[in-house]
Amino acid sequence: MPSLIYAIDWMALLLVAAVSIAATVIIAALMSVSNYFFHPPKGEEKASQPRRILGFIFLGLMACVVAFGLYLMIPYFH
Amino acid sequence: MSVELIILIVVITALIFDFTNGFHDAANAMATCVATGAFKPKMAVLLAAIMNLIGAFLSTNVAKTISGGIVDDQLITPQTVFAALVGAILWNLLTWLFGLPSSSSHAIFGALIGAVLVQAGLIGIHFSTVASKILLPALVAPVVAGVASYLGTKIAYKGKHNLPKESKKRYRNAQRVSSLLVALSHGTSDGQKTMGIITLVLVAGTLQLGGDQMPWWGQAPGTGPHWWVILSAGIAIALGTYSGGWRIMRTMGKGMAEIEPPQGFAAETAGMSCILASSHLGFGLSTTHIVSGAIMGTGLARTPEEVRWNTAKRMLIAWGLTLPAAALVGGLAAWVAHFGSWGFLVVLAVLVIGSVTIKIVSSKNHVSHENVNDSHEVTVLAKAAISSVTETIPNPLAPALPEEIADHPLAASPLRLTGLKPRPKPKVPKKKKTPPKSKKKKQRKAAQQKAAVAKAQEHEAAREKAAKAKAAKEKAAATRAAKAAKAKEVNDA
Repeated sequence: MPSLIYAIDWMALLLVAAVSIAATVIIAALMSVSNYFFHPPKGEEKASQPRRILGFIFLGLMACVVAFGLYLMIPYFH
Repeated sequence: MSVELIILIVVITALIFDFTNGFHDAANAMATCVATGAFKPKMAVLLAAIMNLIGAFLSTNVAKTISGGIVDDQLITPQTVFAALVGAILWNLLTWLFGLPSSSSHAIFGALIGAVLVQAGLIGIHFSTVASKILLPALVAPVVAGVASYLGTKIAYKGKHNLPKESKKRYRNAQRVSSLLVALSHGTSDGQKTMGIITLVLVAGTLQLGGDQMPWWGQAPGTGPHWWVILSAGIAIALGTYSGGWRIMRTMGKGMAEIEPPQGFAAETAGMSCILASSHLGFGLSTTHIVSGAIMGTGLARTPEEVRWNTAKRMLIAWGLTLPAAALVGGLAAWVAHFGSWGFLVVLAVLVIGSVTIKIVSSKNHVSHENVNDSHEVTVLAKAAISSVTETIPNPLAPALPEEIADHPLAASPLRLTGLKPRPKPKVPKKKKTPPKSKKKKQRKAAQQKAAVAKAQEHEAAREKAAKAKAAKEKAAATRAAKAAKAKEVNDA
């Protein structure tokens, strides 16, 4: 039993859990904020130009996260 | 049996395992997309297959060991690998039949453990590695992915229960991207796994043959996979994915919880994050366990009362059984294959017969791209639900129905005579047609005109009636006067 406890890389396990949760929260938050800016405020039919620009900025940040995921996935890049 | 023939059979079996791996894991990437309608079912599996194929070509850094240290690799021969593949294929097919998502990697590790146990006994198994690389990750993966997905869903919905239609549309697009990334990562990891198995078998076969000249398929230790190994492994996993694995797709997409596009996005993003973190930070987690946990997490975040715990329980049982059941089949296969060529052929025959039997049983309650979203359950031996009955045979013993309901579609139901109440069609409130504004105006004007004409006609009729009455009155008075005059004349006379 003690050898089993030592065999487990607890640090790697904690790191994987923390990074997975943090990455999901960050991506979901970026998407949620982008969605907020694209959505027209009450009483208006269409979102204003500055709101749309902000929406695109947050969408772009999300695209950067996706690009980083692709970078990790493709061994050619690292 | 010659070494070449054994190698050929093992390579073909490895490709079949790769195919089953594809259709078993297609649901990991696309189940949520199919359930939320982000992709049509056929399009979903086509795109996942393409991403798998690309993934298989992107990463060809095959593992240096088949087992990753869970067994003593020096004990592994082509026969052991064959037995392990047979065990893994049969377990994959059996869990597919019941629509249960289980890890293909755990199936092959389990079968390998069984085969090595038969060959070398307990000494060949590294139990601490089994616990740290298989058992603990199986417990951790769904929890981590579930928590990530739960938080992602809460953020997406911002505490509300529903989102506007436009927002859902945007989330649907984001969900498509995250699902495709999951499919790509599946291609890089699992395609690579089969390439590794084939490469190691080719190396073992070359060493077994010895001699000065290397055969065309031969491979020296430490070299990368042949181009035809990469191509065939990529095509096998892509074909497997394209074939769909609709039974598992139904369980993952509909069986655990009813999900919407923002939830699908949260689940796939959590899945993606966990897969990438686990493969780059040194603690490998199974994709199937990750995505299943993520779907449960998203279901709990939005509609906890609608999560189907029964399906989750069945899934957990399947996960728990994967290792011992695959080990049992792998061990039996290794024991039979140990008897030489005849044993080898018997194992091959069992694999073929077992696979065909499972396919035949599955066809009794067929699940395909056409009916994948019709139900949340995968039935094996029980009769399919009424919603999936497409053809009904008229029963000659059925009592005649009254004429007015004889034409109703439910009148042909096979359940009519069994005493079961056929499920009535849901009532859809009929929408009243509201004509456009200009049309409404025209109609009002026409009605007013009609009313005016009717009023005028009524007035005219009343006037005519009055005139007639007056004329009749005058006539009567005249007649009366004439009569009186006549009577007077008679009297006078």
